[in-house]
Order: sequence, then C-alpha cells, then structure tokens
Amino acid sequence: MSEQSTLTYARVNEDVIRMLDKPTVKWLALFIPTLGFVGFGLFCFIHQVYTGLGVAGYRHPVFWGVYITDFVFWVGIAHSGTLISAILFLFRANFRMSIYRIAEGMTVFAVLTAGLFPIIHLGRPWNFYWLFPYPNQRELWVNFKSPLLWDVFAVSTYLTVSSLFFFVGLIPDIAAVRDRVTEAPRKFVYSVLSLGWKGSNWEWLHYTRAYLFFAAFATPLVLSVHSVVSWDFAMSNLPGWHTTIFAPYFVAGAIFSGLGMVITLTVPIRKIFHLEEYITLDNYDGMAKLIILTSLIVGYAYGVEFFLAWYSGSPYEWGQFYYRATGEYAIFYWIMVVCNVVIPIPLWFKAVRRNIKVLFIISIFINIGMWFERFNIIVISLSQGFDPAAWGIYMPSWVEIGITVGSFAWFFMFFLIFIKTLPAVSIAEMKEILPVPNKGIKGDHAG
Amino acid sequence: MDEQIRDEILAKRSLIPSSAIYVFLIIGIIGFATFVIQAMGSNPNAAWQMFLLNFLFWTGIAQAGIVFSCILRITNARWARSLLRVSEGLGAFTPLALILLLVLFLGRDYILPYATEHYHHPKDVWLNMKFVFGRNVIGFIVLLIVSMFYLYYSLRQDLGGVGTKLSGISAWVASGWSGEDERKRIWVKLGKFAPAVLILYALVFSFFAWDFMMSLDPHWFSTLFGPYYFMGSFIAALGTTIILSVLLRKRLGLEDYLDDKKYHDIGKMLQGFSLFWVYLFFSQLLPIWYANMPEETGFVITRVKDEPFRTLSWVVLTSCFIFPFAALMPRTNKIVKPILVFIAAVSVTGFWLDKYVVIIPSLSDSINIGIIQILITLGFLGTFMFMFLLFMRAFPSIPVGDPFFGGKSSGGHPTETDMV
Repeated sequence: MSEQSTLTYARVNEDVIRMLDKPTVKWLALFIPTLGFVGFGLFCFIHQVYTGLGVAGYRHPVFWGVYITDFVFWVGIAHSGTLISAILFLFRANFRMSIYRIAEGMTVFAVLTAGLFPIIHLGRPWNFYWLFPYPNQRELWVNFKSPLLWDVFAVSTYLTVSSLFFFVGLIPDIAAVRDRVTEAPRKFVYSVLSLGWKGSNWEWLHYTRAYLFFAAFATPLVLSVHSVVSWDFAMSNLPGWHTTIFAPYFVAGAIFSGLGMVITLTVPIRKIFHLEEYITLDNYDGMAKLIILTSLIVGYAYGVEFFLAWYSGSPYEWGQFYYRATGEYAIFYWIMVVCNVVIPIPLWFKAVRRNIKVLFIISIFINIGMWFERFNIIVISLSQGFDPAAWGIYMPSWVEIGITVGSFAWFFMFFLIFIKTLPAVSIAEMKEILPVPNKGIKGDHAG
Repeated sequence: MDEQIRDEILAKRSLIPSSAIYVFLIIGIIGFATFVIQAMGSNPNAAWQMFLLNFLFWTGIAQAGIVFSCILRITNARWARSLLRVSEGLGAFTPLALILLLVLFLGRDYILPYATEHYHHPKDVWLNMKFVFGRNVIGFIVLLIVSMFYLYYSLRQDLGGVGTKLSGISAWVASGWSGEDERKRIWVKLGKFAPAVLILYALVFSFFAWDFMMSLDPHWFSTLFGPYYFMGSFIAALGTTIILSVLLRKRLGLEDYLDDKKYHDIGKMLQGFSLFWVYLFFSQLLPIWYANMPEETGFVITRVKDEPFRTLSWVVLTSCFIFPFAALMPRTNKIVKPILVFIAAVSVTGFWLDKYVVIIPSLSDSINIGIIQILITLGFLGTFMFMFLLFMRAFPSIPVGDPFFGGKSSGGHPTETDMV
C-alpha cells in the first residue's frame, strides 16, 4: 500500500475492534485442528504418566532431552514480548507500537507453555508442588543451591510480571471495546476487566506513570530470567556447558528467537485482518535490524566458545566442541549455525528487510535454528561427558515429538483465542503516533 | 540545516583556550618522559605494567566514543544527537593509540608472559609473538581506517559548504563539497560505516582482551572476557562523554543545545549500563564460583578473596555499580551538572581500577600506586585531553549538519518518560 496513511482515531477503533467480531469459518478451520493437536499432546502425556518416563527417549547418559529443549525454547520465545514492550518503550522506539500487544500476548502464552515442561519432565508429575518451598509435613525443603530451583522463581516471577504488564497495557483498550459491544455477557466481562476505566485526565496521569515504572522493573527481568535458565546448564562443569558467556548469550538468543516468532505470528495476522496500515514495513524493518544484532551476538558466542575451547588446551573442552561439529549430531549443529548465523545475513539489505515474504521465511528458519541450538547445547553436551565409558546417543521418541507438537498447538490455541477476545493492536498507543484530529486538516503530519 | 546555527557553533571553536591545550600537552610529555626514564632505568616492570593498563583503558574509551556515535546513528536516536560530536571527539586519541600499541610490543618481555615462556600446543600457535603482533596491529589498523572514514563523513556532513571560511584540517574535510545532494549520499555512507565500526570494535577489542589481559594468566580463560572488556570501555566512554560535554558546554556556552533533558537521558543510560556491567561481572563470576574448578578459581581468588586486591575489588564494584546506580536514582542528580559529573567521574575511575584489578595481579603480588604510576597515568590523561581539545578546536562541537539534529533546545519528542 503506497498511498498515504488514512488512519484516524475513529478508524483505529473500528479496525481493531472489528477483529473481535464473531469467529469466521476460517478461524474455526484453524482452531479446531489446533485443538486436535493439543489433544494428541495430552494423549502422549497421559500415556507417559501411565507407562512411565521410559517412553521418552532418555538413554544413559542423556536424561535431559527434548522436554528441556522445549522448555528453554518457549522461555526464549517469551523474551521478545518484554523486550518490545518494556525495553523499546524505555528507548522510545516507536516501531514497537503496533506489535507490542501481540508480542506481550505471545510472552504470556509462551511462558504458560514453557511452564508445562518441567512438570512433564518429572518422573512423578503429580508432585510438582514439591518445587515450592513452604513448611510442610513431609519435612522436605527445596535445594536453594540448585539452579533448577532458581528457575522456578525466575519463571514464576516472569509469568507474574509479564501477565500484569500485559493486563495493565490492555485496560484502556478493554474500556474502548466495552464501549462498543452491546451483547450483555460480553459487555459485562469487558466492564469488569476494564476496572471502570473512564479515560479521564487523572486516570491517564497515573496510568502512564504506572506503565513506565512497570517497564523499568520488567527490563532487568528480561535479562535475569534467561540468565537463570542459562545457568541450569552453565553451572555444571560438564565440557561444553561450563562457560561464562552463557548468560548474555542466552539472553541474546532468546530475543533473537522471540523476534523470529513475532514475525512468524504477525505476518499472517497482518494479512488476514488487513492491518497493513498498522503493522508497517518500517516496523518490520526495525525488528529485522534487531534480529541482525542478536544474530551477530549469537554468532560471536558460537565462535568464542569454539575458539576458547581450542585455546584452553583442555582435551575435554576441545573434544566436546570437536564432537559437536563432526560427531553423530553434527547435522543439527550445522542446521543451527546456518539458520542462526547464515540465513539472517540477507537482512543486511534493506530490500530484504522490507520484503514481507522473505522475512517470513527467514523467521521460520530462525525458529528452527533456535530450537536446535537448545537441543545441541543439552543433548550433545550430555552425550559425551568426561568419561568415555559413559557416552551414549539419544534420539527423541514419538511421545516426545507428540508432546512437542502438542506444545506448539497449545501455544497457538491461546493465541487464536486471544486475537478473538482482546484487541491485538494497542488502540491507545496507536493513537499516540497519529495526528490529532482537527477539523479541516487532514493528515498534515510530516514528521 | 540552519546556517546561522552552524556559523555560531563554528565561531565557538576559538573559545577553547590554547593554554589548556598546552597544559595538557605538557602533562602528557611529563608522563611519557617518566615512563621512558623508568622503562630504561631501574624499574621497567612497573612502568610497563602502567603503560599496558593505561593503553587498554584509554584506547577503550577512545574507540568506544566513536562506537557510541555509531550507535546513535544506527538507531536513528534523536535524543542524544547533540552529544554525538563530543563522543566522537574521544576518538581523536585512536591514531595515537596505534603508535602506543606498537610501543607496547617493545615491552613485551616485561608484560606478556608468553613472550619469554613457551607453552604447549595449542597455545604455542595462538600466543606466538608474531601472530599476536600481526592480528592485533592489523586488526587495529583496519578498525582505525574504518573509524576514520566514519569520522570524516560525519564531520564533512557538518562542514560541507563552508570550506572557504575554514583553514587547516577542517578545510581539508570540507573541500570538494558538491552541494546538498552530497549530504544525502553521506547519510547513506554513514549508515554503512557505522555497523562496520561496531562489528570490528567487538572483534578487535576481544583480541585485545584475550591477548593483553586474559593471557597474562595463560592457563585461565573465560568466554565472557571479551564482552566484559569492550562493554566496560563503552560505559567508561559514556561517563567520559558526560564529563567532557559538561565542561565544553560551560566553556563554549552550549546550554541551548545540551539542555537538561539530554543529561537526564544520558544519566539514565549511564545508570542502566552500570546495572548491565554488574550483570556481566556477576555472569562471569557465578559459573566459576559454582563449578569450583581449580584452574579457573585461581584467577578469581587472587582478586576477590586474597589481600591486597580484595579491597580494591570491592572499590571497583562500588564505584562501577553500587554508587552510580544508587546515586543516579533521583532526577536531580541526573540534571545538576556538578553532581552528574562527579558521579560519572567515580564511574570512570572505577573502570580504571577495574583494569587494575584484572591486569596487575597476573603480573605482580602487590598494589603499587606511587608517584610514578600516577605520573604515567596523568601522561595518558594529558595526551588524551590534548587530542580531544585539538579535535574540538578544529571541528564544530555540535553535529549541526546531521538531519536528526533538532536545533536549539529540541530534539527528541517529549513523552511521559520525561517526567521521571
């Protein structure tokens, strides 16, 4: 669309709220198969609980496999939500406006998905609440020295804060929806959720302050959550795991994969709901630039890890990295390198960054690459530790693959419900970048 | 571009006092004379250690100054546009840094353990003197060339069209200006050079970190060490930019361009990055402490558990993180210039001490900060300031030709974030 933007305040309301209309056949055609896959995942899980963890492909010495990979993958996806909504907000980067709601929603749903996996991975999943420290008759106390426990706190804090942040940002928009809808049950639900928002000056004053403070508090969380996840691995002195760059490298990787997922999700939504004027090419350009940056950081980390393993002169370190690139799992290692470092290279060209189709394809490769990164870090490192007598090969079983597919469906299920129930584009913030309505003057806002 | 503002800014250049330039030159000469006398004389170890430390500290700041400018350009940041030139000014030291890098290799026997000792494979390949020299010098030359192209176009953007009124190096930069069309072409070129500077910076300064700091303890290694050094330098450059821009602002009367809002923003940035620094610090410390592998903990124990360096480590942590982070909390401290300068100065000093804690324990058992060490450090400071003032004397102190430069007292959109 090359014509000049014709967005006005009224049109923003109409366009965004129109997305919440009664689900169409197309939506149902997406939603019902998604439910089917969720059901299949559930079936796999029940089968695993019933039969025992043996149905997963765990083989000595690899007892962390696809489930932990999925966990890290989904926590990673959750990252760009807070990045886009909080960090870019603090940096006043306007390209976040149209996409931050989708990114935040994605964050919440991705954390909800990630949170399942530590439980799925448990031998006795019904005892999951033993993870929380509270005085109990079992006289059990969690091990605070374990990074796994830090994870419990990091992820639950992140879920709490990102949900609150998501909800606070929604309040003015829910109020706008409330004012539009007429059917009684919907009106009631939106009225309750909007917390009686009237849009008075006084309310906006406090609202913007609250939002700002939230953003400032959420920003360190982006760094901390994935750092703690990275320490699940870096704290072990297994070759290939014990390395100091893990925390920043994981954070960059998480943002990288999260941005990939934002693009994967927004491209179809933009097309289906005709949001071309909202989610503009400039927005994608900005995200693509962030992808270049994070891809470079991730590439730097791959290189440095490899180089220092060689430099260290430690046969264990070097053996591990040599195995990564040449051993049984080499194909996955090279998929990771190609998807995360090589495929984003064309984004250096402006024409590619502004070509939605190409961008969409690249974003899918990024998702694949980042999943394999976690797989490599976990499985390859575990399968060849210090002791050659304890080496082994792990391959995921159909149960694990089923649950992984189910987790994607679980995530998309929430997402599909979200775009039909809550405004997927921030009405209030979109209006901030539009010209103020003025009688007789049309779109005279050449910034 | 506003011609009137440009003329005004160009006229302000002469307000930089020649006396200050000479004073810093003299300080620099005294410092380097002390170094030469010591290095030739009785105490070459101490002299070379100080040289290495100061080289890494000041070169880091100088290059990171250019990097800050590149980041502002890449991100299309309007908020700190008028600080862009001051941070570029830090980079005036980089050509000199190349000479100092060459000098550094003269003292290799005193500071680089691998110059005198032989290590088994693969360290004999990587820590081979010829290879060390080659990669660092060539890497730095490439970075320097790219940085100089970047600076050239950045300055040309401001000076284009007034070449006839100028003399010396600024006239050379402005020469052959072909009109307003060229400004657009320069914009594109700057957009290409800026990311190149960034990537090379991360790469070359990782080499510096590995070869001149990490390998001083040849059996220790940490994958985060490169970022720890180049991000630390970046934060020190932010602090230095704050300090020097406040001084220039007062001397040249730049209050209309460098208003409170800019300092409020860059103050927040310094605060945020001090938090980021401690994050890197902690991310590096924690896995080493937790895994408790003897070949790795040795490096840390010397620095954080054993005296004399233990106390100094706490000073570093306090002045790089605890103090700036807490002190920059209130809005007042970010906009009242003397307070802000003080906080930034503590932070910058902290980063100097950080280099001390990283480098010296590998080479010496004790803390030795006497008159010689101070004079050598002042020598570097003097030279750094000398180059900076020469640069500011020759070029406009505000990027008047930049399309995102907002003119007087504007730039950046006032948003609700301004209220905090």
